[in-house]
Amino acid sequence: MSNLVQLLNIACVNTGKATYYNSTEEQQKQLLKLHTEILLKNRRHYRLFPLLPINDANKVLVLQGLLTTGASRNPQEDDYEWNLVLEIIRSIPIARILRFFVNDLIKNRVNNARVRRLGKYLIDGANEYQLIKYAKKYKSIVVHCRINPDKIADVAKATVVRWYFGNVKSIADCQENSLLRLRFKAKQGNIAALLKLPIDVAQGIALSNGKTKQEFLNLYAKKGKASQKERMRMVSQKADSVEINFEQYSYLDLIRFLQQNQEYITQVLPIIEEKAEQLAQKANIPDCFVIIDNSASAKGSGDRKGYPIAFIEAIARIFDRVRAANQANVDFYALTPIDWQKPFKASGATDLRIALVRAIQSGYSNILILSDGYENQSTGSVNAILNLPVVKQLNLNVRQINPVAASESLTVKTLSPLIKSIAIAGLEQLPVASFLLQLQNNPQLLDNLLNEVDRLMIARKYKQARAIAKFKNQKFALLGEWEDAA
Amino acid sequence: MQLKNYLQGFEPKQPQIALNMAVIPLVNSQIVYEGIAGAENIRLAHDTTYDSLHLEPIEDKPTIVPNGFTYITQEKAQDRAVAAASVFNKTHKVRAYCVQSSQGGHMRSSGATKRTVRLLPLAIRQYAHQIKPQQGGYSSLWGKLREMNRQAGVDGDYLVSFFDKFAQELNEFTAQFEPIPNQRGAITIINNRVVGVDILPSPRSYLAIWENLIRDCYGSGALMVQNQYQPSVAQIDNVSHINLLLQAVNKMIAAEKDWAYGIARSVMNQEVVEGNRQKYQTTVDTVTTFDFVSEELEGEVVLDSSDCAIYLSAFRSVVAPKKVKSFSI
Repeated sequence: MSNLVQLLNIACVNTGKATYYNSTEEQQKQLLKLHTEILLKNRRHYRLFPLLPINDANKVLVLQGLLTTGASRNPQEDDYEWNLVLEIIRSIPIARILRFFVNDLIKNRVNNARVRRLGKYLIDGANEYQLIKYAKKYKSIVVHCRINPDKIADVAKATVVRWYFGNVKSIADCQENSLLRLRFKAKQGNIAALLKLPIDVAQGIALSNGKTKQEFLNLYAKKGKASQKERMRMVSQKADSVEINFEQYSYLDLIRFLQQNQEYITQVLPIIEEKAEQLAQKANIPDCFVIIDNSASAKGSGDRKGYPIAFIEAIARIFDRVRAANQANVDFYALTPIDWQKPFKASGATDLRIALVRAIQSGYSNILILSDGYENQSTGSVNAILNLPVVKQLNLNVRQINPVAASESLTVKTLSPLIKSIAIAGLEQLPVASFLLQLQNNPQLLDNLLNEVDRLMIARKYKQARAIAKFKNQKFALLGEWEDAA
Repeated sequence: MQLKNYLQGFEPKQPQIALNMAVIPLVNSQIVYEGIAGAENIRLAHDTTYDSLHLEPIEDKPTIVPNGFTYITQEKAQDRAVAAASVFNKTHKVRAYCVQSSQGGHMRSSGATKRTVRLLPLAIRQYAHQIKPQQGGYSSLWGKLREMNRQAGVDGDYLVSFFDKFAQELNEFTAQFEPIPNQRGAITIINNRVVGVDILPSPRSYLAIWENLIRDCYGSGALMVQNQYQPSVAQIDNVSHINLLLQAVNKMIAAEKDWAYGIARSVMNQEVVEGNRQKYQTTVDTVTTFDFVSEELEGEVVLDSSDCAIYLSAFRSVVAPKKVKSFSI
């Protein structure tokens, strides 16, 4: 596998965080090594990677690479790369960017012209809400990039920056900044003002004013300005009377939510099924047998806790809808029995042998295994079965999707060399999954894609470049080939 | 009394096998002691002397400290291990051993986020159990730790150095095992010999310490002797027709079961010699604790009033009890 293909495969799923199998340090060390290697060898393609559907953790690593290594002496080239940096910034949630800026740039004392330019860009682009919500981080940026509050044109913004340094002491000093004024009022115990503040700012003030967390949540749930995501979190935290419209959430978010809050089954499951059906219509799925490895390790751990099993459920339900709509014949075998009317649970050991035999004997030539790739009953037996002459003769198309990122040596843990395995962690990556499978036969396709994106970016055809890089309008074909889906 | 008599109600399940280690999960659907907790319910109350720790239950219920329970801390304080299992209702002082020789300082009860719970590696856990009657000082494990580290190519006698050096190997190895529903214990086999039997009060308690048992204790033990391993597990038979595949796989599964159960059976049937029984009144039941030794294993057990194991940990014994010929005329 070429390094670029390896990076794409890993960057879709590896967050550099501990998995069920690896510590954070091991993951980060290996990930950084791979990134650095490609940055040094092939900067031209490397910098385009964040345009592909890779995860935010890897986008941040690319950003780090670009900002901490020398810019080009060619102004045009430098300008082009700066545009790419901004593309990356815009595609990552602001909280993550700020965390990166403080933890990776400021703490490591990276302070070059590009970093200062980025700091200024972040301050210019921030709204009042963000400036107050992430006050400590923005303050660090202001200091690090030596931004003078008096030179900030926006009065409201300049007021917040002055407040960072203790120069705004009362409501009278707040000038144009209404949100800061609300903050002062909330501090004085004004509930109406408190409920207009961002939830975490409001929570901090409420707790320091003697309210319990639950009291605050119940209050904020009724009248606060919570976003949809925050509302979902509040429901999970058992706040009273949260108004929530489940239709607005993503398919994967709903599955994760239901796995943690089964009491919402009657409200949420029909929406999940509807969304699965919509995705099924975009899928190009042949007759197949799906093996669901919902063993204990699919629980995930750390930051990824709950994700692998949610992802397995998400894919399985799409296949279930394909079956229900008679788009294709699909049979399932789950290692721990599943009830389609309930959320999936991860438990038990991984014995794929019987499942694989059932799949082979079912007569399907396409077999999809949703598994982290670790068997615990007689390791290597999947490979042994696939290597039996009588099975080899069948020329089966066996694929494995690994939702766990068990990539201790930066390879996706596979059950057998006879299986094409890919790792993906989000549904937006389904089209890229088909592409990754194709790359296993023809790695040159990735170069071609990146060259095309590069050409469009240089020609300033940004929208077109993004569409190609994100595989928009592409059907996903986890068991077929990429061209089939195109 | 045979070892198996303590395991009434337990059912062995399909063994999990990876390289030189096999684990037979033990499930007990009849008896679960939800009212008694294990490692999941322990927190540090205070740490004032090097040879002891004061532990307390998080929830108000009788709690068993598993033997080999270890705190590795990032505080400027000494990592400590508890050698013997014990049962307690409220704050309880346990004998502790230092596992980080040249680090001074005591852990703070508020430093829970800086501490991780581990279990002693098999060789050290065994040794700690053996020296229990001698009531040694806090430095008693240093020599054995140094010896284990030297064999593993690790400098010094810090336990944490061993875990750090083999973090990746242990993680990868652990990944090949998984807890199963309602599991309360396991029999562990390394290089074709039973090296440990562990029983916890409930599936919850078992799950809380499962990874420590598999990774820290037995995984470490297996890793040290992987070069002496000769595979003996059945392989799948070649078949002439696809319809015979299921039969071949089932045969393979049965052969694995026979192999592992066969090794465990002989150990389970061995007579045990019990040490002094001590009764302890918990809020749930009167429990009995004692040490025992059989021909191949030695360990400690906590029994309920019907002599069923609430907690048991046994390891391969170094010195076998004398075999005395039975009387006959």
